[in-house]
Amino acid sequence: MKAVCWCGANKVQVETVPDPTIINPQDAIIQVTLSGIGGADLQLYEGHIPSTEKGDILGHEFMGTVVEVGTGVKSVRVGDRVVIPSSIACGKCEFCEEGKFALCDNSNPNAAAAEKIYGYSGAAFFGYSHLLGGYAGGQAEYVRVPYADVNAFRVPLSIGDENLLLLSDILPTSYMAAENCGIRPGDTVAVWGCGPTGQFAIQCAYLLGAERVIAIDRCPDRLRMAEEIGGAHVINYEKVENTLEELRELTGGSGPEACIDAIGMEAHGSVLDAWYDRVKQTLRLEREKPNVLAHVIQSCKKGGTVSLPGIYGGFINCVPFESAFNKGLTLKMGAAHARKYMEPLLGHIERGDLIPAEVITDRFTLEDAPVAYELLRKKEGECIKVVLRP
Amino acid sequence: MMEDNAQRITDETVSPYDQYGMAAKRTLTVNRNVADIYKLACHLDYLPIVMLHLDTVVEIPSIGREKLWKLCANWGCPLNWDASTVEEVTNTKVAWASTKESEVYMYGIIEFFPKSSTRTEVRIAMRYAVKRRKFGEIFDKYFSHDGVAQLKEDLRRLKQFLETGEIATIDGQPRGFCGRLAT
Repeated sequence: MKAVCWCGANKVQVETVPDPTIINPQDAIIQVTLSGIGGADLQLYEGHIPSTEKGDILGHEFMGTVVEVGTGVKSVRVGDRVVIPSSIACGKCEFCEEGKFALCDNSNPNAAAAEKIYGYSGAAFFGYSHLLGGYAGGQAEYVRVPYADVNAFRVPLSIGDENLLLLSDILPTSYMAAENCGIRPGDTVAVWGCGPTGQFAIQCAYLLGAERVIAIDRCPDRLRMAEEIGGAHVINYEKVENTLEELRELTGGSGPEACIDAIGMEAHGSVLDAWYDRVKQTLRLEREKPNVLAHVIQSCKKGGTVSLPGIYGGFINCVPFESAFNKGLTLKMGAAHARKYMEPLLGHIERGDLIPAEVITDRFTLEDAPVAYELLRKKEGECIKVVLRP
Repeated sequence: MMEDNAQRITDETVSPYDQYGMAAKRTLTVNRNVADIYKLACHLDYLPIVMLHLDTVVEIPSIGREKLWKLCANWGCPLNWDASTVEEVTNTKVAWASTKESEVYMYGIIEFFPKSSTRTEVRIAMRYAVKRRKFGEIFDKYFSHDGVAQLKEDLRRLKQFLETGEIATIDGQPRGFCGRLAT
């Protein structure tokens, strides 16, 4: 089969590799019909994620048709159309039973390595470094899906692939980010980053009862989408003198009740502290770009909530933790428990509350993946969300 | 009392070869009813699934009430020894030890502490020892820090097996070559 393989920083190749096979009884093999390239893939592509090895097959967002099931698979059948969540859940541990699928105890075969860094290992992810399992990803013609009864989410034929693919990661991430805000009637929510996660964080915040959402970015096309489709009030941080002051004015002097950092490791910045961040990153003195996180904490209303859907890696400094403490902020974070949210989000899609295909701006064949990665990296044109079709 | 058995096994020099061995202990919370786990733990034949150093474990006929097992390890060269189940207390503990004639000393104990009707704390300890002069290479390769780490990982796999019935793995999955020769 053809698969997109990471071959070093800023280099992917589409190679012919063996088809996946059933390894454990609860596995299923999926023939991929659509996969996505996300911000997390970009971090891998650029070489920012340790424990990525040359030859790894990328892709944590994908969907397709079941073509083979192991002897232990009970509820999924050959021919089922499925979307696969990015985090791999066993369905049997205490965390999975509580709906915290991204914290699964059992799915990461490299849990020992993750434990050394995190204290305890969470779930493995498709196509996202060996620290998080090393599972082959979905930017391929076929994928092996472990614990298929849990991880193969069946979807109706009546909805097109482009309106379902984002159930695998972006939609659950955005929804959980908004849910973590604890939105109450009358609240204002500020969202930093108008990529796909930010776009849906805006929409989900409204679905969960926000009175107003303010979106912050520097890309005109993304801000336009946030305004026209999401209904957000937008701020281009490169065109205002001070984002914090702008937010203060928009919120009667108090700040937004909740703030979402929908950028994570990708943060840019237009001021001296962003330059400092870049230098430290280049010298590997710090693995994060904390500029946005600092702004998010500073901007949040006293007693408010900062929601961090990620992704993050490593240690960060220059984060105003004293500010967070003195303002009594609640910080809620974590990788999305994607499987938990797929059913209710499918309901929103079926009712037309959410139209995921609206953020898809670029479509490529699997063979053109190297071009697609470069396009996303440079954010040329109106590139917001890229999908690959085998 | 709960700590004593595991700590004793890992600290105490209880075997004839006790200076040349390894020991590991682990505490796990398993999301299963204690009776289910105890039933499984009474039969050692599942051990090769979770313990990479064991090739086979088979029950052999015994005259008395105690169960007898023949184990084969793959420590560079095959090593066989017999073990017997020395203690079984329903839903409380299972302990096993190598027989006196064995060239490998092995002792293991698994204890169960129910947290709820569906969750059980499991404490496991194992100790291995061999004669260094006779098994020098094996000792250096396996009875070392890495060997202990591997044994601890084996015990982690036990939780996966108890909860899901299988061990998470990516062995055998496809990958690219990025211009290198395929091997």
